[in-house]
Amino acid sequence: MTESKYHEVQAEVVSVKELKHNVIEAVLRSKEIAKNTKPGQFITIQVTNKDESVPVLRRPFAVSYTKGDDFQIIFDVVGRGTDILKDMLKAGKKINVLGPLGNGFNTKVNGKEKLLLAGGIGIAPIKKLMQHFTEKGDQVTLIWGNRDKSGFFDIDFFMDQNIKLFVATDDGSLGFEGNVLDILKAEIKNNNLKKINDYNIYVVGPGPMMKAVADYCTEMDHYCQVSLETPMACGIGVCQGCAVKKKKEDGYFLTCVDGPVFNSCSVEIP
Amino acid sequence: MAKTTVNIGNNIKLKNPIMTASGTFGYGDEYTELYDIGDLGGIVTKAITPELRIGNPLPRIAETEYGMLNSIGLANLGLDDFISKKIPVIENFKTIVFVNVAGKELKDYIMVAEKLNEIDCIDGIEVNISCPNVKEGGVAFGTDPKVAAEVTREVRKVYSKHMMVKLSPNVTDITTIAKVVEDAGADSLSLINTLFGMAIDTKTFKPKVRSIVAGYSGPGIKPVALQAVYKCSKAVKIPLIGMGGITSADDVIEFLLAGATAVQVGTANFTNPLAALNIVKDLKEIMKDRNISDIKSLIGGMKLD
Repeated sequence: MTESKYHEVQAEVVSVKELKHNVIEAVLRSKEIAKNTKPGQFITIQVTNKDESVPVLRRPFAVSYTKGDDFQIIFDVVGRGTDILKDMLKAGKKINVLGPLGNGFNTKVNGKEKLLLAGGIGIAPIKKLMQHFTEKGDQVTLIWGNRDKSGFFDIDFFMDQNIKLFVATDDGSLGFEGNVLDILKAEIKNNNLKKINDYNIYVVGPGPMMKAVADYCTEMDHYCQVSLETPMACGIGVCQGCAVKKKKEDGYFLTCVDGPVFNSCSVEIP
Repeated sequence: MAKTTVNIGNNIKLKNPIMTASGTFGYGDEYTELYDIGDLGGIVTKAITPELRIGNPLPRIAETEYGMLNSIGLANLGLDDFISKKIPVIENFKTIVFVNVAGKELKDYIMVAEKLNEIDCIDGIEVNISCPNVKEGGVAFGTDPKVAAEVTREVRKVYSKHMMVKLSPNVTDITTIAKVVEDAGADSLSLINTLFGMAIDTKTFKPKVRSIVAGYSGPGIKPVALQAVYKCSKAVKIPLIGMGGITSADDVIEFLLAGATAVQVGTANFTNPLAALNIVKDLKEIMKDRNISDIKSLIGGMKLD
């Protein structure tokens, strides 16, 4: 079930930045959402422009940062909804937001260092998680992987944080050559990172990446927390459209209310 | 103050003609976090079957032009859990509550209806003979007039409160089904359920919904729904509850003019979870602006000249 009550608000657009081509960072103002969102929780935005009733479905976004009454989202412009949203996001304008939704990351696992793994735009929810841990004074290691160096944005922000930061690209154009799992294994071997079991692990990225990390964790008798993305209509457990398969039994979880964050042992990563 | 109440038959009085459509409003409890659902005319719950159903394979939904496809497959918690877990919540609702009833076989409908007949806080049932997304039952009951009549007649025998029957648009002539269902004892008809539809991803060549053919809903189906309501209003005497792509108070007026007594708001609940409530508010405003003193005056009020 959802951890906290959700709200329907008209959030004011505070600022919009194009971090790189078609990657948008928007800061929106809503006390209800900024104050109540836990790392890993999400919001949905009604992207229907003006009074038009299409597209009919809201678009879900992870909250990537909060400060005071403001919250931030970061997204790729990938299709019809995000195209319209990009045009809607003008400073001073109000947009219809529902949230916070879903269960966030379990951050109360004690005693271990935090290992955050992001693939591509998966950095968005990871950023909020990083904020949470660094504000608490936890030891944080972040590995961010992309296909090539053009995938990175706002890298200075992450370099300024009090964290251990590693970057990897599939083609070696920036940082380590290889994927997130490759660099993870390599740095453990080089003693730059501890043994995998010494970390609480949080992974957000494309399905195959999360699956690879989850399988490796299982192999090492460990687990990770993954945040899933699926087609979604209502966001509040009504429509049953965002189902994902359970791992050890028949049946489905709903990404919107049972997730989007799951223990990698319990869910089939789509 | 303009009058917004409507009667559906002689045993259901709605404070306004806005209900929510089955499958788009859960069991109502999800929305109580956002607003007082007592402001709605009524709600219709997700379909209930005798046993728990986990639902169809993935993906189950896809957005399309002017609407969406869904193939959920009547995923629901089953009759017993519905009664033990949801009824205690529903008891507190200050609105009319209908339960959508479905099954694989005739005896499933009878079993669910018989049990619900004993529950005070359930004002009526909506017999679902029109779900396009299940292999057994569903739309198969609603496309053959003989079968549709039989289901209606048999459920009628065990259910004494208001029995609404939900019709499918996926037939040659919806009035044929409407008439036999009326004759078999239905108190009202709700229409339309989703249209058959499909979509294919042109990059992967895969169907966008795993069941390939799914149910199409949303603003795109409104003209189809309106003509179905209009035709049925000429064919039967029992009240009609119109639905299909309703997103605004103006849409509600349009359905009433076509012959509906009340309406259900469906897909619009996904676009905005406050859609049904906003429509209720807007309808009252429009009535004031256009000097409509009684909503009932609109029912079947389309003018030809």
